[in-house]
Amino acid sequence: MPRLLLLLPTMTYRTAAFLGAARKLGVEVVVASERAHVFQQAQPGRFLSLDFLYPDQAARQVVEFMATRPIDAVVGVDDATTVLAAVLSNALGLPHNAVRSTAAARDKYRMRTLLREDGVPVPPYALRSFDDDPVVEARRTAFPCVVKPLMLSASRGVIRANDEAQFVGAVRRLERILRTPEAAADGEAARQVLVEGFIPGREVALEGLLVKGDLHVLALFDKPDPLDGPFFEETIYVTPSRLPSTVQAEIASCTARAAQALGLRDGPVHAELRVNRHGPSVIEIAARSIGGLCSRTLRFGTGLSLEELILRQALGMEIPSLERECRAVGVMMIPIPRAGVLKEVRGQTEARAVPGIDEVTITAHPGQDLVPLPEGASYPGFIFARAESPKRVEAALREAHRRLEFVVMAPRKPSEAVESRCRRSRIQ
Amino acid sequence: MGLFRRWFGGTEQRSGEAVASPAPPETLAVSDESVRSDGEQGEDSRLRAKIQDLLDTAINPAVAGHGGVVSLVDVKDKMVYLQMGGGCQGCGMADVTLKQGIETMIREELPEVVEILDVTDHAAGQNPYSAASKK
Ligand SMILES: Nc1ncnc2c1ncn2[C@@H]1O[C@H](COP(=O)(O)OP(=O)(O)OP(=O)(O)O)[C@@H](O)[C@H]1O
Ligand SMILES: [Mg+2]
Repeated sequence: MPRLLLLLPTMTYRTAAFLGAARKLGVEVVVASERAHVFQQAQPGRFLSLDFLYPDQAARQVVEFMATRPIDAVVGVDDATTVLAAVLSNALGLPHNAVRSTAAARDKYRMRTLLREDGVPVPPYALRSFDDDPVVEARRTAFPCVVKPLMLSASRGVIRANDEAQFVGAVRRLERILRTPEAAADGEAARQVLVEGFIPGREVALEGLLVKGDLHVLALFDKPDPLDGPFFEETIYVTPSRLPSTVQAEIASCTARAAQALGLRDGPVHAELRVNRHGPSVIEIAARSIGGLCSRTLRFGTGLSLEELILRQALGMEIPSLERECRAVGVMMIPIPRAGVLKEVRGQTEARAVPGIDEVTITAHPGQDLVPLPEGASYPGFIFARAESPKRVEAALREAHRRLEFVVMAPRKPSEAVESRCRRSRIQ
Repeated sequence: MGLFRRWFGGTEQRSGEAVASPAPPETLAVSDESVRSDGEQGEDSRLRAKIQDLLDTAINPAVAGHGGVVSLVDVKDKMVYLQMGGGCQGCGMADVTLKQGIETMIREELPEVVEILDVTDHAAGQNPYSAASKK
């Protein structure tokens, strides 16, 4: 039975999908997390705790582990683990993307630089430091622009500024976000800020699998809600794309060139692009699969999940099909209705009853703080739909969302919390 | 809905949807007692006793460290229904605890078990050890 080392941060949404896929494939899994699991002592062959921030130390631990229990592949499930997966694979002599390629995909500045050098269209950009005076920097910035951190994900800290005053506010706000211990772990990168020209247009997300340097497009998702800022909350993803096939082909070739520019050759890629009359521009390309629970929308061949494809490839197993089912599918990452403490989510049965809705999954728990962008990073839940056309999928998602009612208490203050009912209405 | 399908053998066999809202255990009309043979019932009660013993001696002492508790809801047709409470309910690591920890322990001891299912309403967990979040 092949053995897989799965790098699973304790907070990831991706656990069930990857463990489920491993079980279906009959693969033995060793779960590595950044914290010791309660069963680690009882089952030392199945759990490892690794310091994700010190790859060399983690590599020594894994090499030692492997001496008694051979490992056939290392897979990182998200942004936080892709580079470590490459480092560990390297140390174990297992095939994987080059460490420098995965590292470049994780650092928005290095990514931009490599893409531009290779002629891949990217927004104009400049690297700034929090040590610079934002008032002075604002004067040499063209507007509208986007201010963003080098390493965070889920659009955390990504802020549009239309003028000098907004720029100064955005930089200061980002600096505060990057002072949290978790972000500060990125070291020097947490002292820097990327300033980009705002690219207008429609946004798409391309889910792909690289096989020996060739990009296979698994799904191209439209994002039908406008993403014009000041914050960029992802909501609806629908595939297949409704863009003309020539534009879709341009998007695919642009993404393939981006992967090549970074030196990524194998494994999943998740790319975001903006498309306007000048053609596509790459916002980012990450060496990982789609985040959250969104991969639940995807089925390939006779019902394979995205994670099964990824694990099959990593373990050198045959991949029967890369062809997605023909029905249109979509997911809504439910937007944070407002800042506060979640009390309950009403209307779930009604939302599930909408024709085309597969599933409504509330992942936030009562008592959880709901933190909107740009500070927050999680969604209260997900809605999944499937129908004959992308248009129907989108309509079903919107209708299901309309039926949900979030009861949110005022943000935590020492003693009092005022209940406020909030029927969400933002993205209808 | 995913869980519902999984329990009732629908077309989409998804494993691992511990965060989906499950049906309450009472509605799990998995089989009709009257059509089950004595042998089947005997096998289930043997499994029930063995699993309870595993919970008491190995599983619960470990999860207690994070304020968690796992209880056996039922065994029917060699399908095991578990409920996670305390720090496990809604915990970001609940899937790992169940699939990688508890499930492998049970399967090693009792390979005849067909499926192990989590019937916890994780979305209602008030005090998870680590809340699921992020990408
Ligand atoms: N230069 C830009 N022009 C227009 N929109 C932008 C630009 N940069 C970022 N955005 C918007 O902000 C979103 C998040 O930006 P980006 O992908 O760089 O950050 P991220 O935190 O990695 O996001 P995620 O993890 O969600 O992919 C993009 O999907 C896009 O909608
Ligand atoms: Mg992005």
